Amino acid sequence: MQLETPRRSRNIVSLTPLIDVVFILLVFFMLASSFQQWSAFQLEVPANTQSEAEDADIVLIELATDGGLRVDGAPTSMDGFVQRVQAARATDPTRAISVMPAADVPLQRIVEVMDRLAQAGVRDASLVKGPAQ
Amino acid sequence: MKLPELKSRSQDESVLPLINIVFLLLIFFMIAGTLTRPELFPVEPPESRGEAEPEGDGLELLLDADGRLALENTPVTLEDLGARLKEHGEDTPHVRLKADAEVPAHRLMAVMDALRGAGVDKLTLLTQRNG
Repeated sequence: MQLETPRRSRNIVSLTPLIDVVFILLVFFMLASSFQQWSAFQLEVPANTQSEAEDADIVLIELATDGGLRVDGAPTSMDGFVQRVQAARATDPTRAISVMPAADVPLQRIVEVMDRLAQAGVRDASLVKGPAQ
Repeated sequence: MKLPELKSRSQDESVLPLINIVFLLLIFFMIAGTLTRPELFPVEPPESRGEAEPEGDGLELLLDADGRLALENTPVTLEDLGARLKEHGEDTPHVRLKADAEVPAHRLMAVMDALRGAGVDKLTLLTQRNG
């Protein structure tokens, strides 16, 4: 009987409030924390390069609204353009590389192209405005 | 007398595994997730395979698919952007652009024009890593 008393007092502290608090904390952290992994692209803010775009020293990658790609005016595929750019770079490493998206090309598409370029080791591509923008 | 006591003890003990699991989940979310300020409007950044870690500093510029802009979580218009950037100090502030994947190029260009007008020559475009 006497042994029973301390045991009882231990049980008086109920676990329910603890569980409540822990649950609230859990819900808070589930809602407030994000698991997005960020990655970054360095972009040069383009100067008004409309005149520069006609310059022969630039490898111009044009992105059309329908998903088409042109390197220096020649239509090419998503796989082919990297080779063209690399070939252009191989002949003259100082040539700048510019990506010129049409007005309605979504950012995702631009990022895809820049991604391919970055994978091919071209990290200094700049973004230029199209003539109609 | 004895019956309710026994009952409550067995109840407490039966929730122990639950508490263990909940604690584990709590610790997981605390450590694995990062707490971020909620954004003014939802922005779904483009996905990329880029490996570069974004630098922690710089002013954060939000741009959503409808063209709404927010600098450091306060709404701003394209016209005011330059003045607001100057309010933040520095002559050539470092800007981190968090733009929606659906933003059309002309809108992005308009924002970049405004940034150039404010003396920004480098900006970091934030993207989501997709493996």
